[in-house]
Amino acid sequence: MNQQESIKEIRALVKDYLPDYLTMHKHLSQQASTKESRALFISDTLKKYGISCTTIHDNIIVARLEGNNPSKQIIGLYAGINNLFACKENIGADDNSRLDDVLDFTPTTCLLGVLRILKKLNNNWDGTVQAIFQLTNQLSAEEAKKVVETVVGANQKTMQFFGFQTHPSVPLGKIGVSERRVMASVDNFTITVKSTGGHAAAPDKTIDSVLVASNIVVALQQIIARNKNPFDPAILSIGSIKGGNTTNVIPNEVCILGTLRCFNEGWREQAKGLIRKTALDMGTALGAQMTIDYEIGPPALINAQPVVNQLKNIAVAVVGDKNIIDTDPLFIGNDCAYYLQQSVGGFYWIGSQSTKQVNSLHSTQLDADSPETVFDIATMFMALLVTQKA
Amino acid sequence: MDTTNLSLKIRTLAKQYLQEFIAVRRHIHQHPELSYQEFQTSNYIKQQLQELGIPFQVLAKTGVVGLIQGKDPHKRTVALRADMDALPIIEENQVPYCSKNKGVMHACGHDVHTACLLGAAKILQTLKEEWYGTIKLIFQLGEEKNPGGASLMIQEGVLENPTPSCIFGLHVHTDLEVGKISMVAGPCMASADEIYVTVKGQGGSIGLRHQLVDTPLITSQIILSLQQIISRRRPTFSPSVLSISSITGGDSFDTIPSSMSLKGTFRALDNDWRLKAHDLIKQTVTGVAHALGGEVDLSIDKGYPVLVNNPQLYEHSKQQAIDFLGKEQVLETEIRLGAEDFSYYAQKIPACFYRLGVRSSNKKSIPPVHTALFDIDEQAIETGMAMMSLFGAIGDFKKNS
Repeated sequence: MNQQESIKEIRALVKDYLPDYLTMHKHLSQQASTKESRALFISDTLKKYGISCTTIHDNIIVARLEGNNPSKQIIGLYAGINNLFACKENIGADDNSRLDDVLDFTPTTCLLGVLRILKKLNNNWDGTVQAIFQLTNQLSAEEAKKVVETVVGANQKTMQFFGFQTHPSVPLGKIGVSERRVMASVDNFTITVKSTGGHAAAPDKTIDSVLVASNIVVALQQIIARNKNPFDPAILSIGSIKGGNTTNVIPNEVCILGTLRCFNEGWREQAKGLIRKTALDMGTALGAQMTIDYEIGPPALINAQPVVNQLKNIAVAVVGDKNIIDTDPLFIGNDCAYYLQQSVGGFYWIGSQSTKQVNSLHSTQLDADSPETVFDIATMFMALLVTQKA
Repeated sequence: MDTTNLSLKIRTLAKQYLQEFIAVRRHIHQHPELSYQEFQTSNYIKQQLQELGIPFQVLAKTGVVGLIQGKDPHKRTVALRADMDALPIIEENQVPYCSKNKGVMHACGHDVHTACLLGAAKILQTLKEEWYGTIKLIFQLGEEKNPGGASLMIQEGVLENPTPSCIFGLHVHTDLEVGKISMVAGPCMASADEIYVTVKGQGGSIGLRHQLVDTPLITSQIILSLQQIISRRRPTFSPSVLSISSITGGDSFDTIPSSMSLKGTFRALDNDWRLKAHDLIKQTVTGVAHALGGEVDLSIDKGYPVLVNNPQLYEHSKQQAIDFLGKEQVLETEIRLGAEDFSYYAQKIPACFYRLGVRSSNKKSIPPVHTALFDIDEQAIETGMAMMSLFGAIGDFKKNS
């Protein structure tokens, strides 16, 4: 079957499977309420399709499907559950209601659809597909390394990995492809400043933990403004400072929450050292007891240049070249980045912004007419990643 | 040492009643209440006065004023004052009388002051055939927080009917040994003003930080800049302190909050500098916030004035204290910048505010007031009761005839 015919056939299958997609999506989003029940649903569905799968780690399901010449290429397809709505990329979003309770099962459902299609067509494409359904929002760096080891294993140099998310600022019907930088690495830190505390009128009898905290917050700015290569984009931001509750008692503890987001692993490591040093050494020099809890998250997600071209070519086939958007890098993280570190691959965005929606922060569901379009485009795209010659 | 009959009796009774009033102190210590919420403490004091047969009235909801009459009640009137409110601190002392009210603690010794005054009440009531005049016992609410219970009780007439010719107040002093007291003439406690600042600006996701206002950073910059008022703008010989004691804002790692709040206190011993500093605080807070792109709300809640001890009353009382305790036991107070709403009384009538030593002699230092581990050597209650009784019985602005 030639490329054009296979595209046509895939399109037809996508249309056929749409009602099932809507049912599955509804079940995962609204009816199933635990990781375990969702995992069960996915493995049952795969079994129904005749696709073998195993559960590794904490509710991560890996499915395996072979086409012709299984060793010709190995492709990993990733579905996570992150929801960009929960990431508040909109101005004025100071609402701290926990939107990370609202998960997005679009990639999960699409991937099930893709596997079903590939199974149907498995004489018409070459290679092996490893599909990863990650039902846990954020793995620790430790856990992620283990999982990636298990999945990628010996295929590091040869495996290609792909993942996507819906993007609420990219219009429905369009596809977002980022040149190189897609998402930033995420490190969150908690700095605690401790002192004996005491009477605010006798500062000489204690150490002013509030002043020490303020000094640290200001000093941290130097890391971005002065220690960093100006050509490396990065953000070091403090999101919270809390300590004390009166006018006249110097508190014995002040807590600072902050984060480092960047796109360069070497600089990331260096910055971590500078953050620790600034907080610990400076705070100690000013007389406080200092601790820092540094939580390492996923690395930056970078598309390799040949992959960018590949993604664009497929996007042309799915939506036409007028509907490809060059999306800006985002300062949130994604666990897919761990896989892309160990393989060659890419991440792309499927637009989900309907004309009715327009960046509504409180809209947590896709609009009524959008699921079909999203499923349509996303499933086609992912299937073509496997069936089209690169 | 004064061995007159009255002094001997006061000394004896103070010793005799010590255990009883240690228990009183411990009861109050276990049930601390925040400023203006001293309902149970007030009831406890009323109960104690009732048992002693001392008439009382309630002022400002939780303040209690008792009246003891000795011989010739019109001859002289003197006021004795103790405060009764506690602080929002989690007590860390491992003692059987630890606070039962989680998050609140008598970390400033007001439980001790109240116990001393109740003890003095019992002593004075017992000895009321031995001294002249009328004694007003002022159990005062809300010392720790603006507007200050003193100002409220004064508004409700605590210094009238009868009007005392002078007033005495005490405060625990952690640097001073048990058995000693200290006092000083002139300014002895600072003025205290409360500062409230809210820094505001467009908040949001960190990815958009260049379009947002970094309220945590601006707040930190303000806190740093404010110290220059003390280090550089203050007259060198004018003791003064500006503390930011609380900072709060934001909740997550990746969102810049749209507002941050801070609270603090400003202390001074000179009223001209105090007023100038208010202007400098306003300039600094608004200037820094605007320079960095934010908006700011600032309010300075003017608090207690400087407490000035009346010089003649001081001299007279110091001599009475030396006669009673001995020369080595009466020291000159090393002034700190604590504030006291006792200063409101001092603005109206001659006042003498003295410090009560509460540190065991075998300890070099003890945790200061306003900390979670503050505690006292309870032997101090004997001296406290005795001194309050003494000043009640023979203290006066005019020399006794």
